[in-house]
Amino acid sequence: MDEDAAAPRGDRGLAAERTTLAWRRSGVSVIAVGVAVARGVPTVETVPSRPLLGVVIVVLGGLAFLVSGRQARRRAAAADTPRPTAALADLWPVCASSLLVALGALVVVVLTG
Amino acid sequence: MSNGWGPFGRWLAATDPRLDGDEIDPRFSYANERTFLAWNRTALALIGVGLAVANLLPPFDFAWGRRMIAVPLIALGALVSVESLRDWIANERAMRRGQRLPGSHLPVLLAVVIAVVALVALVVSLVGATD
Repeated sequence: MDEDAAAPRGDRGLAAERTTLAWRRSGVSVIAVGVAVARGVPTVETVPSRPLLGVVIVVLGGLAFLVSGRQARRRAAAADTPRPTAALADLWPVCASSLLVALGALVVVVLTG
Repeated sequence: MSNGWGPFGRWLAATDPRLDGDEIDPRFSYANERTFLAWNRTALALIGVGLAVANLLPPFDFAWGRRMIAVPLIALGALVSVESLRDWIANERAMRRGQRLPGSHLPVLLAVVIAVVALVALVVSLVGATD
């Protein structure tokens, strides 16, 4: 039995780097959706929807990833690995921000559609 | 285990699947994490497409024509996001317990809802176009 099997915190190849890139891709996607909404959604007379919703999406998405990153850094500081695996506390902000964005989108669609 | 979120943080810590079972190869956890992120990007795309349909398509002859297509897409996006977190928890728990990975409902859900929305879009396009 080689030493890697006995020591799971040894060399993991590039999986940690791929996961970091996946987080960055997700963050860029959120910003892209926010900018597209800010530019593309028409203004409603009673609700300043276009720039506001776009800004809200960008801010929510950015906050979600900041919170998640903060959790990951706290755990990394406490662990001996360069990028420890995710906890539920790292992932729920992403889910929550998607839900809030969906809610905002539904409100806008019902008002402007 | 404190993470600065008070009672909610304690609930999160207690529900975390990493408390279950044994330590696993972190590459499996990373793969699970990447899958969660991919599903959430899909959710965002669905929400974006819903908004685009509602605001960029020309209006149909009858009211709610665009909304009949947009609202299910946005709702599906919300559902995909929630279900992806549940799948992450279930997969992480199964891996740590050495159990078979549970199946995900997301591929079927996505296929069915998109097929239904496509049918609705077809009907609305044929019946409700202004020209």
